[in-house]
Amino acid sequence: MTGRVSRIAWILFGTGTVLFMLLPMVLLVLFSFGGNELASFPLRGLTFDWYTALFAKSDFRVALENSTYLSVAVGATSVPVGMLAAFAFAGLKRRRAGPAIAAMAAPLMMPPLVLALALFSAYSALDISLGLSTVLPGQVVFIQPFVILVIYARMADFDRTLLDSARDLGASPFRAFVTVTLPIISPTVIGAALIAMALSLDEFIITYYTIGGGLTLPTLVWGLLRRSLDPSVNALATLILIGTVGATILAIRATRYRG
Amino acid sequence: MPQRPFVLVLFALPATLIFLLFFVGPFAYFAVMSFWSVSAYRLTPGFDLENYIDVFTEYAYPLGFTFAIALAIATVTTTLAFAFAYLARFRAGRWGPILLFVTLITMFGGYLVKIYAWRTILGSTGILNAGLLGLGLIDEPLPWLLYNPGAVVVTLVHFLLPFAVLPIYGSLRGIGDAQLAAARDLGAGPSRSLVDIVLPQCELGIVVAFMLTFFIAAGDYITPRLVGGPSTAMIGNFVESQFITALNAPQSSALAVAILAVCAGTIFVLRTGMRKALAVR
Amino acid sequence: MKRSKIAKPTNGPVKVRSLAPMSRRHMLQGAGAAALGATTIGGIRRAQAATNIKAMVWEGYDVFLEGGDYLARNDITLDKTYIGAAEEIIAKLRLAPREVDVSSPYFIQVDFMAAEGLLMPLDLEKIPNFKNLFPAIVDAARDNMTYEDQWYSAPFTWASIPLMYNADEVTDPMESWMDMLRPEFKGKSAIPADPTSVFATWGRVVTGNQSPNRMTLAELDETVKFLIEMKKNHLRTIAASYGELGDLFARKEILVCEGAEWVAPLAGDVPVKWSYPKEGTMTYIEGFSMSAEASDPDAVYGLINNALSVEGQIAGAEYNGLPITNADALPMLSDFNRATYPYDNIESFFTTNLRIEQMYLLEEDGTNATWDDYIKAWETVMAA
Repeated sequence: MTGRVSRIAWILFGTGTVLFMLLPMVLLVLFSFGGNELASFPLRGLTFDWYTALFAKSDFRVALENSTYLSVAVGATSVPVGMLAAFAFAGLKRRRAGPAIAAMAAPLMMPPLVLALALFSAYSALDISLGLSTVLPGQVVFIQPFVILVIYARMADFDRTLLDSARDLGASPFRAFVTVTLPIISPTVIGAALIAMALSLDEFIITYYTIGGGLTLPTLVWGLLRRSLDPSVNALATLILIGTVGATILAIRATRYRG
Repeated sequence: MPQRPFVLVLFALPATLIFLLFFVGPFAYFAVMSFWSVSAYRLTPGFDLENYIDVFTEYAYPLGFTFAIALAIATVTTTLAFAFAYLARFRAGRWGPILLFVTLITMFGGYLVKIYAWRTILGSTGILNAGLLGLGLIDEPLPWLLYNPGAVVVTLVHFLLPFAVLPIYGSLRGIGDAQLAAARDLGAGPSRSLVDIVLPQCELGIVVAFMLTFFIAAGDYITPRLVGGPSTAMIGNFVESQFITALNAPQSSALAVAILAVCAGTIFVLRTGMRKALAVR
Repeated sequence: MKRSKIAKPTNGPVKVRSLAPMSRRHMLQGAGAAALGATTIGGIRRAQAATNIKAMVWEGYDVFLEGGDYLARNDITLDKTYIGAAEEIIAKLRLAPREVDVSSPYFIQVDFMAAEGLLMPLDLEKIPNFKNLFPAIVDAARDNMTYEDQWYSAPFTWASIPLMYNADEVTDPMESWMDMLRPEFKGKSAIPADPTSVFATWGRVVTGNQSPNRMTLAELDETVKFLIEMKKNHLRTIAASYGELGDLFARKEILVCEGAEWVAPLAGDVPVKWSYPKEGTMTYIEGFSMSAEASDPDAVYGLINNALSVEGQIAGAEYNGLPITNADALPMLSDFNRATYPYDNIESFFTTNLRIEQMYLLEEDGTNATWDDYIKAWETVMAA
C-alpha cells in the first residue's frame, strides 16, 4: 500500500536528514573528550585534557572575555532597536510591512565576506580605527532582522484589545506599553535577545575583517586551525556549541516557540 | 501600537539608521569602488570598466564555476529543506516540533568547526572511510570523498540546510490543515495538493530559502579552501585574495558585484519561471 | 616562513614605491589580522608598566623577544601586532613610524628599508649576544641585513622550504624536486598556498633560472603551466597554510609536499623527514629590526639582545620549532631541535643546496615579471 510505503519513506528521510544535520556536531563533541590527537577512530580513552589545555591558553581567556562582551553588547543593541522597529512595522499594513522587513533582511542575503570587506573599506576610508566597537554595528546590521522578525511575528498574534482596554481605563500609551504589552511579549523579547547573542557568539567573518587586532572565540578557532593539529580546538568548538545551543534552548523555552 | 506616522518613523529610526550607515552606505561605497582603479597601490577614483572586463575575461572560468556550484547547492538545499519542512509540518505529527528543534540547534555551533568536522569525516582516515574499510566494503580509503567540488557541496548543504528550513517552515505554518483536508475530501491526491495548494502559498518561504543559500554559497571562500582541493577555487577566493593580498579593492569589489548580479539575475529568472509554472493551474 | 613575503626595492637601481594614504595602511592592518589573527587586546590588557614597546612580528616570534621572564624583570610590556605579510611592516613604518618599535621584516627587504630611512642602524655594542651567533649565519645574512656596512637587523632564527615526505612510506631517496611528481605520489602530494615559495621553488625547477624571483614573463608563464598541470593531475590539495601540511601528513592525505622544517612535529604520529633537492631549496633568515623612530631604543636593544640570548633563543626555538642562531644555546636545545636542524653543517647549509632569493621587481620593464605579475600568475594557477 502506498500509504505504508510513503510512511516508511518519510521516516527514513526524516531520520536520515536529522542524522546528517547532527553528525558533525556529535563527532566534534566526542573528539573533544577523546584521547587521540588526531580526530579519528578508534578513540583512545576519554579525557578532559583538551579542555585544560584550552583554559590554560591566555588567548582563550582573552577571546572569551571579548566574545562575552561583544555578544552582550550586540544583544543589548539589537533588541531595543529591533523591538522598536518591529512595533513600527506592526503598525503598518501587512502589505507595506512585508517589503520593509525584507529590505532590512538584505544584509542576510549577501555573502558575509562582501559585507565584511565593504565595512572594512568604509572604515578605512573614514580612517576609523578598528576594534570591538567596529565589529558591533556590523554584527547588529545582520542580526537585527532576526530580532525584528521574531518580535513582529509575535505582535501579529498580539491581542490589541488588551491595549485598548488599558487606554480606555486612562493609561497613557507609555504606561499601557509597560504594564500591558511588555509583560506579555517579554518571553519573546528574551528569546530574541538570546538568539541575538547566540548569533553574535557564532559569528566569524565580519568579526575577522573588522576587528583589526584582537580575538573572539570564533577567530581563535581560526587561529588554532591555521596553526595545525590542535585538539583543543575541538574543546573550544564544543564550548561554543554549548553556549549557542544552550542559549537557543533557553530562547525556545522562553518564547514557547512552536515554529 | 504606534499609529501615528510620526511615531512609526521614530520607532523605526534606530534600526533604519544602523541599516543605512552600516550596510547601505558601506556597500554602496564598495560597489562604487569597483569602477575605480589602483595604480602603484594608490586608490584612484574614477570611472573605469577595466575591473569588470577582467572579471569576464580573466575570471570567467571561476565565475562560471562558482555560479554552477552555488546553483547546485541552492537547489539541493532548498529541495531538502522543503521536504524536511513539509515532513515536520504535515507528516510528522508530534515529532514535528522535535524535528524543528534539531534544525534550530544545528544552526549554531560555528561555521568554521563544521567545515573542519566535514574534513575529518570525509578524509582518508575519517569515519566514512574507516567505516567502509571496517565493513570490508573497500580495500583502500576512497580519496574522492574529500578535496573536490563534491566535498564543498556536502559541507555547504549541511551548513545552509537549517537556514533554509526555517523560512520554508514559516510559510508552511500559514497553510491551514483545513485546506488540505478539504482538498483531500474533494479527491485531490497528495501530489496535486502539493502543487496546487502548498507550493503557491509557501512561495515566499521557498524564494527566501533559495536566495539565502544561493548568495551565501556563491560568496563562500573558506569551504573551498579547506575541503575543495586544488581545483575548486570559487569567486570568493579571488574577492579575498584581490582585496587582501593584491591590495586591489576595486578588482575585489568588481568580482563581488559581478557574482551578486549574476545570482540576482538568476533568481529573478527562476522566480518568474516558478510563478508561470504555478499560475497555469 | 609562514606567508608570502614580498620585497619592495627602493632607491638605487629601482624606484621608490610610494604608498597610498590611509586606505592602504588600513587595508594592510586588516590584512595583518587576516592571516594568523591572534593578538592581545592592547587596550584591555595593557598593564601600567614602566615601558611599553610596540612589536610588529609574525605570530610566535614574540616568544623570542620575551624569552624567559625578561619582560617582568625589566618592567616592560610588549604591545604586539601579528602580521600576515612582511609588507605590512614597511607600510606601517612609512605611514606611522612611531607605532612600531621593533619588527621582523623579511630579510631581503632590510637593506632597502634601511636606505629608505625606516630603520635604525644597530649599534652592535649594545647587543652583546651578537658576537655569539654562528659565523655562517652572520655571513649569510650580511648581504641583506646590512647597508653601507651597518647592520640593520639581528638574526634570531632561520629555516627553509624543503621537500618533505612521510618517512614510513617513502623509502626511495628524494633527490630532486621532480621526485615529488613520481607516479606513486599522484594524488598524495601538496604545496602550500604561498606564491613566494612556490614560484621560487618550482620556477627554478622548471626554467633553470637560478634567480626565480627575477623570471621573465615567458619563464613565469612556463612555470604557471607546469603548476596547473601539477595541480590538476598530481596534488591532493593546495594547503591553506604551512601548518595544514602537518595536518595533511597526520591524516595520511599526503606522502610528500613542499613544506617547512617546523611542520614536521605537527604531523602527529607520522614521522616526517625532508631533503634538500639538488635544484635548490629556498632559505631565509629572520632578524629583528629597530625602527628609526623607536620610542625607547635602549629598551629595544635589551629586547633584541634577549632574543639572541640563550633564554630567548631556547624559548623561541622550542615554541616555534625553529632553529637558533646563538651558538651558545646549542647545548640547551631539545634533542628534537638538534636533530631537525643541521647545526653541525651550518656553513654548507647556506652555501650549497640552499638559496637566498633576490627581491622582486616592482617596475615594469617589458620582459621581466614584477610582483604584480607573480600575484596574477598565482591567481591563474588557482583559478584553473
